[in-house]
Amino acid sequence: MAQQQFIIERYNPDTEESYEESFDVDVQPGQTVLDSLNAIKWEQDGTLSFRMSCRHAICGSCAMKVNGQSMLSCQTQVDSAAERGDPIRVGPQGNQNVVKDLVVDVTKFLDQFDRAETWLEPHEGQDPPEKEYRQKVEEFDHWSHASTCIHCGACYSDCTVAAVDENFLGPAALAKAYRFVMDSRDSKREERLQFLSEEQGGIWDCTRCYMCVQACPKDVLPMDAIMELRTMAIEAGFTNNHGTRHHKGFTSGVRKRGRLDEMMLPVQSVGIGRLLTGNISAHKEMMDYTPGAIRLLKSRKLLKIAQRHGANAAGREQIQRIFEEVETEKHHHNVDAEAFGAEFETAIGGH
Amino acid sequence: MLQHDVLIVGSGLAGMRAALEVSNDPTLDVAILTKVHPLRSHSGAAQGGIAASLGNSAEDSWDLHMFDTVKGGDYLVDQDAAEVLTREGPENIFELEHMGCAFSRDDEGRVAQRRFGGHTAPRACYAADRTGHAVLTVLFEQLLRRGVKVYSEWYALDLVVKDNVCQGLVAYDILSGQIEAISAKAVMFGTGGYGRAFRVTTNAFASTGDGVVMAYRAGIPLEDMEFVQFHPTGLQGSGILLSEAARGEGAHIVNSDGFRFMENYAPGRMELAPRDIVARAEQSEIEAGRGVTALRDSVFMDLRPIGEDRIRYALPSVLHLARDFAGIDPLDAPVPIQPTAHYSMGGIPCDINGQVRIKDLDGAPEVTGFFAAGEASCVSVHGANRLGTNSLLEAVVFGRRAGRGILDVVHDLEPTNIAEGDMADAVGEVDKFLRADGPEKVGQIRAELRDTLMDKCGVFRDDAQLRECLGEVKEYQERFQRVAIDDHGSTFNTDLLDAIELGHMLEYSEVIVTGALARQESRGGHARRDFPTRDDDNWFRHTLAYRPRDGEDGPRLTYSDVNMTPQYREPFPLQERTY
Amino acid sequence: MSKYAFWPGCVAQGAAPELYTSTLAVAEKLGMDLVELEAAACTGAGIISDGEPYLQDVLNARTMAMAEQMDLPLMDICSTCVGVHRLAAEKLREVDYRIRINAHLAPEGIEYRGSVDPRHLLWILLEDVGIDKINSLITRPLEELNLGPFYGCYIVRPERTLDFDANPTRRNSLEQLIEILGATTVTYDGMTKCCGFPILTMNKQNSLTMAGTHLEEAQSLGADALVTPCPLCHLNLDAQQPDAAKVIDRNLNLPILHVPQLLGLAMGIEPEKLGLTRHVVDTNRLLNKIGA
Repeated sequence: MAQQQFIIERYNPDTEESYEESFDVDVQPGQTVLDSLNAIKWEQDGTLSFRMSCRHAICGSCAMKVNGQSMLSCQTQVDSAAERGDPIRVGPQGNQNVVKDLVVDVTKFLDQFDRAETWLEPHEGQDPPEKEYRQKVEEFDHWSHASTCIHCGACYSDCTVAAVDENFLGPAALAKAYRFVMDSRDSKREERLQFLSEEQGGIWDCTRCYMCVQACPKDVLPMDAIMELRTMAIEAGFTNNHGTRHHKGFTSGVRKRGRLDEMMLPVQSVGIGRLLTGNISAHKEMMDYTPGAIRLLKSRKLLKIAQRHGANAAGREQIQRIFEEVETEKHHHNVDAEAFGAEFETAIGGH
Repeated sequence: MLQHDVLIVGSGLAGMRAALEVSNDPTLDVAILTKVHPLRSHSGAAQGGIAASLGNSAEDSWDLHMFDTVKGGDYLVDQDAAEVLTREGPENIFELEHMGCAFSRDDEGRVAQRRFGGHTAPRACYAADRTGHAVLTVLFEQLLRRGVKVYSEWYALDLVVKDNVCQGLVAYDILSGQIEAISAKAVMFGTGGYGRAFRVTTNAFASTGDGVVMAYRAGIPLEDMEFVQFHPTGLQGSGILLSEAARGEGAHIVNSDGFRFMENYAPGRMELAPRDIVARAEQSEIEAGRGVTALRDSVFMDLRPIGEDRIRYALPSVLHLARDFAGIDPLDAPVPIQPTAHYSMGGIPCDINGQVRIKDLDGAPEVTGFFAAGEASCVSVHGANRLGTNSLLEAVVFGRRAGRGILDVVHDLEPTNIAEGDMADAVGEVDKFLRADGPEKVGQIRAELRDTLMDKCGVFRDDAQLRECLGEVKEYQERFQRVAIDDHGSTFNTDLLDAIELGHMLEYSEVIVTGALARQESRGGHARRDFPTRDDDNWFRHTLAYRPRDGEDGPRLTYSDVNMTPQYREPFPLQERTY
Repeated sequence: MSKYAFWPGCVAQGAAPELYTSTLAVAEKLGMDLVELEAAACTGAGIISDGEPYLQDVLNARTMAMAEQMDLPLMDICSTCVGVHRLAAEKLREVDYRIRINAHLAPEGIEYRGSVDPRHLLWILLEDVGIDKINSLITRPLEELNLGPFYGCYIVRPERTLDFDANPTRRNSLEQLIEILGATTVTYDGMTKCCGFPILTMNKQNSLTMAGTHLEEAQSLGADALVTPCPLCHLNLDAQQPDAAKVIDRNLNLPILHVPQLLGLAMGIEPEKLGLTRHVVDTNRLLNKIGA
């Protein structure tokens, strides 16, 4: 038995007062952060509020910040949360309003599932089979990890985009949308991909920061799901967006020179087509780049950019060959799905 | 006063499945009320599977499933209910599959099935080892699609029944602290089990038997409450569940000699005997000094015979739970396990349509407008012991049937009304705790109660211990009158809810112990050292316990017959239960 | 002399040339022999993989195969590059997938065998060069400076690909470097978050709110500058800083240093040679503070 200090971020809704309070708890080997919070609540201060239920890391109630990172408190051992002697800081989830102490208002988070219509839409006018739909093991294995979301909100709490944008669908809802896009029983694959790429706050607003992958207590890999949605959305032809243009511009630069072409990328992201057809917002976006360009000019960086560094000649030749080969191979196999498959396999197997 | 045609309390599998069914009638206004968000419901913690005789892995039939269920329940199973469960099982699974449930697949692309304790065929349909989560999720998704109203984080305080007609509910909005009456022509309880009264349990903090006690307080007797299932593979100490799927996949259980002791208890089934039998075997080994670890209070479950790849693929949760909660990697070492209170066979008496009935009275009169399904109910499909994977199936099958049962009658039911006076009990209860000033603490009494029930009304029971146990429970009830809480606020006051829940635990614990004391036989999950055999002459009957009226010392017990009239086949006759 | 297969990345040879020159200057002082992979391709930065993940894996397998063929450890100087390389290395542990990818390398006569452990200069400083060697070369301790680390996502996440358990110094490598060089670390919430650069062209408002928030937080906690191992973060934090200030409606004036610039300063290398005069946010006040 050892003593452990907990510093808890508290909020009293009656006085609207936020404060930190320190508690010392006797901890046994194997004791979790949730056990410790309960010890505080039951033995020291019954006013401390937090959500909990299953204590099996499956109901998703008790996600909170432990030393700044969102995690399930029931799943987190005291020993792993703190170096011996260091206090453990416990606070409410981020990116949501605090109701009381460690309880946050989860409405905004949960509403995103409704918004993304993350439920199965059966095929209209077509009776389901008498028994089950058949699904190949490989098909199921490709998306089933994304169906393990427990809606705990840890990903949303740590999401760097949700932190600045209320309108972002967020990692969990996007991963769940992915799960239905991938499920052959669903009838709305195209509609979903269109919505997710065109909606403000959809797949192209993710920064790829990996916060959600890190925070997720399950193996959902939300960011990977968002990335695969991007690939599928482009493949399905939903390309009239900045994200796709940015991808295409970036990739074509690498194809030509083996390296990123910073000179051309802004124009390609805005869209050469849009600029040529006199799209006003496209021209405005181009104008937005001007002050940045002037600053780069002043700091003598623009010249370097304009030199358009590339791979050496032998390298460029090989790189172009690879681009052509992969393009051909894509006609025969869904190589991109295989790439994601390899990622899930190593990511989940490696845990 | 809030008003709905149908109000479903509890948002696990039974509640949500019922709500979906009721929502098929667009003219009806249906709502769900739940103290935790639906996705937090404890159904989601079920791991290993949901039974149905699909026959995808080996030949199977509903008859065989029914026989396994009846025998598994030590013949206290109502056979009309077991028949419904098993006959309607497959179509319910297909329905879930059509809704998008993430079932694991076999090589043919069908729903995969594995072996489970007490089942003679591999009939556990599964989603890795998170089957409850997969089913719970898909039901919630479909509710969202239908736009069913959910009162999330509302706590039901009181069921209002007048002249045997259910009027509705008094409930507490946890966020605001407001108490509201909600009237409904039909109320269904899918409020879950009552395992929290035991120290070592798999149950969620929420599994405090709230619905069971509300019905009891409304004058409805509780059925077979003494039957509590102890699951054989709880993590040592915490009692956290390691799925029976581990044994289904081939895990061994060994004692301190490294011996697979099930050889001595159920040689025909070994580790895949029903849970009550494995749990008793473990407890016997532990009490004989063949326990493991320094505490010698557990035995080992060894997953290594399954093989690493299959463990990772089929049992990821078991792997993570052992690592995260016990610091043991099952790929490298055996895991210490012990019996853990898991499932409540008893509950609110109802028929196969979810209609709550007073079964001991002539003609088993109904409580009009009141329905129940799932673990809160006692239909009784599990009898004295539930087989693994039958609980999810029960919740879905009887949730759907209760939904249909409601649809059948609700249009003919009169609108109900809850008067100010009907709220008095609920308002008074909340008020009492908010004002209470006494020396006793909720946490302390609760800890003592859980110790008492675990140690004196656990895997094995006897007269002397049960009498002690009952005395202690009454003492806690008395001390509870002097309990005080710290939090007097109105926003998210979980201190208050803890107190109310402890009140429920104290009340139903008395019923469990009283029923156990009276039942002088051993049957399924109820094992008396002083009456070690089943006694069909005297005890082939269900217990019904009424709340004591003024002047009565404890619950009044009556009994009712076990149903032996299945519709589509002959009943299975009583037989000795060996495996 | 320690020798590395050196992948400078695109931005160090484009919009952040001072990263390239300062790396070479520091490497020379440390006696590191850098063999530049001139034929290698851009990592794709997670942007090629938005639509063509397979292609991105082939390109990175090729780069790693080159390092493997030279039998040299691979050194990156960009958080994004090292993160993308490591993710590719992780996927390419799958033998079947590696065989498939290698088919595209065969015409060039190379094969990726799966042995490369891509590392950032920052890690190499702590793991290979070592504290003693760095200490021995410090001529201008940075005692006056309060520095905020800014990591860039891929050098801290996802942890599974970064081998933190086997290499615990990686977890707080920037803080360690800052302290070795005599400066004081300013810790702040934003230091491991996203700078916003990846969505600059998609959602400028969100992107610059992120950059601005982190800059403002560090600045208000007394940081004299931020130091970052990622040139992409540098672009959003330095080149975009005036715009970020407008978006969050605060005054910002926080110089952003590349890792080798910071080390170079402590080792007495001339600011001009480290490219410190080529930043958008003026570094003069910072340099004055340490008498450089």
